[in-house]
Amino acid sequence: MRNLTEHADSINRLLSRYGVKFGIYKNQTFHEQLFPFDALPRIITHDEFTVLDKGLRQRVDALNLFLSDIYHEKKIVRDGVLPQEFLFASKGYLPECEGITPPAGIYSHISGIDLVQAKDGGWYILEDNLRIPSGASYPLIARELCRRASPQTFRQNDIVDNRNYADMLRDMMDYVSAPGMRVILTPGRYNAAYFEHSYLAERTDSALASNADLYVEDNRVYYRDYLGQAQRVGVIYRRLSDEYLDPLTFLPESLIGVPGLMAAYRAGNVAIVNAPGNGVADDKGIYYFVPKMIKYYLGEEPILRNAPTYLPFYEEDYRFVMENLARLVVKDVSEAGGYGVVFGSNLTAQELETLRKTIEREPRRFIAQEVIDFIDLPVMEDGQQVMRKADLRAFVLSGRETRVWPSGLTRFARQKDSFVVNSSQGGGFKDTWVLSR
Amino acid sequence: MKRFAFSYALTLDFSQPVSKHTFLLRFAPESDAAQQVWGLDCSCRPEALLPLTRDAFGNRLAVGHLEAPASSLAFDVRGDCLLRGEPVAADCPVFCAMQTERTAPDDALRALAQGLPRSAEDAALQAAERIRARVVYRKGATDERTTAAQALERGAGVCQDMAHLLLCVLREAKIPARYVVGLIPGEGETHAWVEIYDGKRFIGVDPTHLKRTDDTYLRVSTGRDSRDCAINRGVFCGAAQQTMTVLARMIEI
Repeated sequence: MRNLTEHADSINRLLSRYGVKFGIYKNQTFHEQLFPFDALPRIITHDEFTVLDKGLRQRVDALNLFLSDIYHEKKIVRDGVLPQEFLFASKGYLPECEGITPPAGIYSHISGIDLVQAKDGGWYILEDNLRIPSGASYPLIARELCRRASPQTFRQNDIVDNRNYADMLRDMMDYVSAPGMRVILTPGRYNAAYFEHSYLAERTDSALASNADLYVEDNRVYYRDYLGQAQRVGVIYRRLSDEYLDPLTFLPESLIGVPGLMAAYRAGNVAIVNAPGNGVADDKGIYYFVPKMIKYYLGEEPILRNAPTYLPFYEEDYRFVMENLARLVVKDVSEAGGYGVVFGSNLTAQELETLRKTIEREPRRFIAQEVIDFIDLPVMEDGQQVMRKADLRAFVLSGRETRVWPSGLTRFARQKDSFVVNSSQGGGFKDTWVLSR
Repeated sequence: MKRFAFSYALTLDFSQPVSKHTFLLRFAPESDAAQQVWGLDCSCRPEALLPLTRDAFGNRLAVGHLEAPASSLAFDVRGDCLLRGEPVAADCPVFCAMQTERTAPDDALRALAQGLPRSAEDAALQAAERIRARVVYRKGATDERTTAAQALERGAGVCQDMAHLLLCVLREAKIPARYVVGLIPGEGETHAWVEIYDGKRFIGVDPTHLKRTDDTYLRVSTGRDSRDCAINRGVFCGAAQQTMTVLARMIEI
């Protein structure tokens, strides 16, 4: 371990040289900032990972079944498990995607599931990210550099090799692909995760394309290479959000989308990773229903727990939330990236009152959760070891089978006692070791 | 039961040539209990492949692509139809119950939805009357983006606004309904109306003419609101101004 921390500075220097950066928008302007790496890894034991692996696969399988159901028969609504209001009010539900069966029937190919470990050792799911979960490339490249900096660390410890992420990704893309090449579609270098787009394109041997390189003709997608030659595209790992994907179907003013893509997709001539419309399943309000989905679709008990969650939409929960607001964390279901998250304990009496009024006006817009006292992890700060809150984003890939990447992105808060670990809010990251024994 | 020949011609003229033009054409009426369509012929100039596919609302559409610069694009669709004017038995898609940005109710519209008759059909006709008492038909009073609430405030609108208003009121009254674009006999532009769901069937109601649709209504497309039924959408490269000319015709034969 000491070996690694000694090399922390040079690893961070290399990360910066390789362009491992995270872009953020502040006051309408684009800043690129380093994503600070801490050399002390998070360590997950073999036994712990066995449970996580099983629980995550179960959860993602149920979410995929839910997506298929929602865009076809909607049995879960008809059977009264999910109130119709929640479906309609979810911004992620896209009626434009009704009736589409994606290649191989998979909707969430790459699922980023955020978990925290409570002080009692139990893991809780904080949220599911089924649209464009980013972040796998950071621990991937960090591991690469750590191995170079201190090869003996990885010889002396029984650490599962995590360098197969790109292979897993490529296998999954090939499994769902229509005839044609692999493409990673990026909105461009001003996107927060542009480093990741280019890195994964290189590692999966996919073309890194912007929308100008792609066009749709005869319900097929083509990639125009640097010689102007057109090649058929079989699978697009797109890194732009649904509403910008196809200006003929979604936002007409989108300048970064591929016009006609949805027609080719509906015709089954191209796979889109992840499927458009997935937002309905990772909506913070729908989160509440995921354990119910596991029972409903799989007939199994959920292996991993949700954080205790209340929906002000329900009368009983509404009263509870209003009474206990000061100790709960309230989340706006339509926001992401750590925005729209409010801790009741940080609010003045007046702010609490304002929040109460807002919830009263739009109860469907919010969920409230118990604050989980999750564990702190050691982080090196100016040569000193300090304790910081950290979460884990696990990556689950669904192709021929559902597989959990034996690693993950551990993000930590930079400020003491802060719970906000999002990279867009300035958090740092760590490697995540899964032990093989 | 009546027989018609119909045609739809749309021409886009550009002030300077545009290239990499990808366009969508949503004008391929289908056969069902209310209408039988045959001899559908769909073409465009410059020539492009127009493979038919479907959208989420069940409409047939074609997406074409023209790589080379062109200073105009013209579509032509024609065919014959036999119209019966009968309700269509079908399942009701969930989107029929969802308000959209364009149909979103305000207080004035919510008030219009109060105390409507129980039967979906009577409710629709009465709602249409309430709307027409407040909103007169006037061309140019609104534009393509006008919402139901804005049209009511203005007190004037065209068939698109009447349809949005009726959809808003019916959905507010928990009666599922969908937007329809289609043709009625004559020459000029396309028409818009509403289909309500009575629990088993879709029944056409035309709020502009205050009546149930009959065997002179050809349905071309349906959706949540006018946006889902846009006949043409396109994206091209070029700093050109675009002029659109439309001629829709339906003549009894």
